[in-house]
Amino acid sequence: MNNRRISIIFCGGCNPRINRGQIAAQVQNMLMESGYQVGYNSLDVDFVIYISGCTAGCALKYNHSKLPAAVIAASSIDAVTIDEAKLVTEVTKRVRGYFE
Amino acid sequence: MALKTAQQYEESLRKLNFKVYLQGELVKSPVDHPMIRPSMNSVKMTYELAQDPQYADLMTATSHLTGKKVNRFCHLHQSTDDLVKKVKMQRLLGQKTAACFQRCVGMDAVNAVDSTTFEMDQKLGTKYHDRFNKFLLKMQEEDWTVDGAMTDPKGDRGLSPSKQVDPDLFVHVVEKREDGIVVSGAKAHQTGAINSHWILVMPTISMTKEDADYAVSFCAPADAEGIFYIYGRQSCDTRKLEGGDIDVGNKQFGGHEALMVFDNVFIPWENVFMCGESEFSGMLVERFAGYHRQSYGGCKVGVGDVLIGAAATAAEFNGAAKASHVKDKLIEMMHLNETLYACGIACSAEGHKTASGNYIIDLLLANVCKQNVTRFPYEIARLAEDIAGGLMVTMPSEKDLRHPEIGKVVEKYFRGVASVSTENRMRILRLIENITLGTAAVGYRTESMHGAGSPQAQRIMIARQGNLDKKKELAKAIAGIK
Ligand SMILES: Cc1cc2nc3c(=O)[nH]c(=O)nc-3n(C[C@H](O)[C@H](O)[C@H](O)COP(=O)(O)OP(=O)(O)OC[C@H]3O[C@@H](n4cnc5c(N)ncnc54)[C@H](O)[C@@H]3O)c2cc1C
Repeated sequence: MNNRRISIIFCGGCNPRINRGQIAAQVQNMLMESGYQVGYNSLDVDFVIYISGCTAGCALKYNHSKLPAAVIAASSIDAVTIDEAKLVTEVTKRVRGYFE
Repeated sequence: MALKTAQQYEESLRKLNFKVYLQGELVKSPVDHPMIRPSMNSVKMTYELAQDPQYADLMTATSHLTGKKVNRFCHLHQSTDDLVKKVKMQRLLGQKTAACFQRCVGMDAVNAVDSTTFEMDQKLGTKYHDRFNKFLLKMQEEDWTVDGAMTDPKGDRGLSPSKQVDPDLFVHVVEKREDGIVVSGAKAHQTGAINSHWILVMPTISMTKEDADYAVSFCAPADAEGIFYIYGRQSCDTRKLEGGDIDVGNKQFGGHEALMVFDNVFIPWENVFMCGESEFSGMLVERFAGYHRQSYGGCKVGVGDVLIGAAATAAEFNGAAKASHVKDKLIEMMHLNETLYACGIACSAEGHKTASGNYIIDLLLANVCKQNVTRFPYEIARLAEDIAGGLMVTMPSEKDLRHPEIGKVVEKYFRGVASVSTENRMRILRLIENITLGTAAVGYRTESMHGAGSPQAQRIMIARQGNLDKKKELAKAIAGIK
């Protein structure tokens, strides 16, 4: 346990281009294996992972915070297009890169 | 000077050394040519309204480079609010000019080139984005009108650039030098080219490695050595040479397109933003087209507002305004027009930040917007012609109206309701004619069809972005299919 608290915040999911639930579950597993605490839809944490199903990016738009964050919106992380299959490893890399 | 006045804009054009051919003759002073001047007046309006406090919120923005107030046409969108305001500004200008005000192409081009050069530099280690920012800074400081030059003549549509019989059918690099490149070719249909200070050239299609010489983007002064223009004809254009003010329909405003020819033009490296990076040509085309497809959800709606107003006025002047079918047709026109606007606003509200920091529209919704634009103005125009009556195309000329003898006959037989003069009835019918099949129809109809890409180009994007697999999943879940 490294006491770092991560929150995954979702958009509403009206027309997703990616499987948000599956991505979140895989990210959660990978991070928990490394001792992170991972919860959902909270801003009382050390780092936020926003997951939006499309580029409109509603997860971030409606839950803006000053917390350090990584933003998934459709097949992109922090506005850079990326293969959907690589989203999970890329985003966990960002979290680790921030803390480790 | 972050904001030019309308007068300063006109004066700045006079200083340029344009080489423009119109009807087989070299034009001495484009600004003063009666066929060109109305189009200049439309661009001038983008400067005039920026000075007016009533319109400043839409017409101006704060530069992310300097923090200074700039004309929105020189701005990189910094939020979805900026994208929304862009569409509202375009509607406003369409209403004020009832014509194509030309300056959007450059705005859409700079926004597309900004994010593409940034991502290109990130991936390939090139140095284009810094160069581009220097150009943008100057554009903002000088309040330049910039022509967005994408469409090549393209020759045989079935062949790629490098397979064309004549290599000049797509703009291409003919020589790479230590200090820059030399380009040849042409760009067709260039909106507002002769009212622009600079041009920003982009490739017209997604290129492969073998077309690397054609994957080129650069900026150049619009009057650079080696660039010349052949002015495009418009339906009824020579009415502008007749001197009257009724038959032209819209005396003050218009739009223009021209063929822009590059005859071995030298471009210094600091003005080159892509040179051979074919893998990024598709991104640039897609982004420019996306922004420009959004634009039409504003400008065409503004012109539509004028056309609907003209049709309603004609109905009153004809004495038919109370007829239920006429009222219903006007409702249908407004419904169609506001549907176009709704798509323009929607693709803006759903926009997002790019890696470079500027904002881009939602591509799917922008393509839906433009696909509607390829249809609805035609239906609005059809309904306007229905309401106007046949006189809009069979009326005698202004000279007949003013004639000492037959003028009385024209007055008598072309009057509608007694309370409205024949002259005013002729004026409103000529305006409808102008927008539906005169000079302004270039912008309101055929540009709605082909500008920013022909209808099929949007359908390809809708197919790509439409999320069909997800829709199948939804249906299968409801139907209980495992
Ligand atoms: C009024 C007006 C203003 C414009 N302003 C500008 C401007 O400011 N800047 C700019 O860069 N461009 C401008 N354009 C150009 C515009 O983007 C083009 O008209 C558009 O991309 C279509 O190209 P085209 O006119 O060459 O038509 P074409 O490409 O010849 O298309 C004609 C038809 O052929 C089809 N077609 C073409 N190629 C193929 C193919 N390979 N396979 C299958 N079908 C095909 C098309 O779908 C369409 O149905 C303007 C156009 C107009 C009409």
